[in-house]
Amino acid sequence: MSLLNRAPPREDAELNLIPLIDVMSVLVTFLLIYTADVEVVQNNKGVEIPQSTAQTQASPSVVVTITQEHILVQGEVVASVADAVAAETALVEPLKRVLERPMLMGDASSGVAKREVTVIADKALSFDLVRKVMATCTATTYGKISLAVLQK
Amino acid sequence: MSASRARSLVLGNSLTQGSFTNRVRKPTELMLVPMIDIFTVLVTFLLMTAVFSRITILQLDLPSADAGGAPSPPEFRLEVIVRDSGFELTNGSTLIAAVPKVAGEYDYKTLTDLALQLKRENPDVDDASVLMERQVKYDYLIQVMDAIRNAQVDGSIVELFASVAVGEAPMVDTPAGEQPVTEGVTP
Repeated sequence: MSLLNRAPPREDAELNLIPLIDVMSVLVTFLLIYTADVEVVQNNKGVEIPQSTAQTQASPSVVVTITQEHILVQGEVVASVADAVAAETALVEPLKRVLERPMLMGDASSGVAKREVTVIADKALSFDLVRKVMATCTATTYGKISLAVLQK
Repeated sequence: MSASRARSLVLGNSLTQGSFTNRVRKPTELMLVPMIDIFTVLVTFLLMTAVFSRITILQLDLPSADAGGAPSPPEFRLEVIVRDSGFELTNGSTLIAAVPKVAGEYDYKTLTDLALQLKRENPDVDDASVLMERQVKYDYLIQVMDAIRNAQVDGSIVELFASVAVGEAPMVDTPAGEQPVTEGVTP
C-alpha cells in the first residue's frame, strides 16, 4: 500500500538557481560600483595612519611613506627612520636626493606650487621626524603637502 | 448559425493554443552553471580587493614662496601650541587660553569650544597654525587639526579654521609674547 502511495521518483530534480543568480548579480554590481573609484594613494599594511574627519579625496601625487622603520618614496626604501632621527641636519639628506630626481618631479613646466606630495605617516611617530620629512619636501620644490588620513 | 460559428472559433482557438503551448513546453534550458561559476569568482575577487577604509588627505597650508612677503599681516591668527602638558592657544602674540590635559588625555572638546568662540569673534579669519613640540606624536597633530577645522553645532558641521599651517612650538622658557621659532614647515 505504502509502496503504491509513494510518489513516483521525479525525473529531473533541479535546484532553483534563479534567486541565487539574482543575489549574485546584485552583489557583483554593488562591489563593482563600490570599487570603481580607484584608490590613488595606496597604504602599506604596516602603516597605521591616523583617523580624521577630512573629506578631501586624494589626488595623484608623489607619495612619501614613513613606517616605523623606513622612509619610502613611491614604495622604494630611501632611508631608515633611525638614521633620519639621529641626523643632526634639518633635512633628511637621502630623501632629498631621491626627491630631486627629474623622473619623480614630472615635467619641469609645472610650477613649484603645483607639485604635490602626499605624506603617509604612522601615527606613533614623533612630530619631529614628520616635520623633517615635510621640510625636506618643501626644500625640494614641492609646493603642496598633504597628509594622508583614514576617513572616520 | 452563429452558435456553430462560435463553436468552430472556440475549437480553432483551442487548437492553435494547444499547438502553441506544445511548442513552448519544449525543455529549453539556460546554461546557468557557467554563469554562476563566473559570478562566484567575480564576487570572491571583488570582495578580496574591496577597500573598506578610505584614505583621504588633509592639505597643509604652506607659506608659498611666490606670495612674497605677506602684504598685510592679519590682525588675528589662531595658534595652537601642543605641548606634553596640554594645549596653549595664542593669537600670534599673546596667550588666550591654556587647555591642560584631562586625565592624561588631550582635551579636544574644550579646544573645539574655544576655537568656535574665537571663530565667532573673528568670522573672517580662516588661518590657523598648529605648533607642536618635537617629541609629541604625529597622531595628535591630526587630531588637533580636526578639532580646530570643524565643530559640530546643533548637529550640523561648522567650518572653523580651514587652512592650517604646521610648525614647531617655541621653547617653554621663551615668553609667550615672542614669535614662534618656525612658521610653517619651511626650514
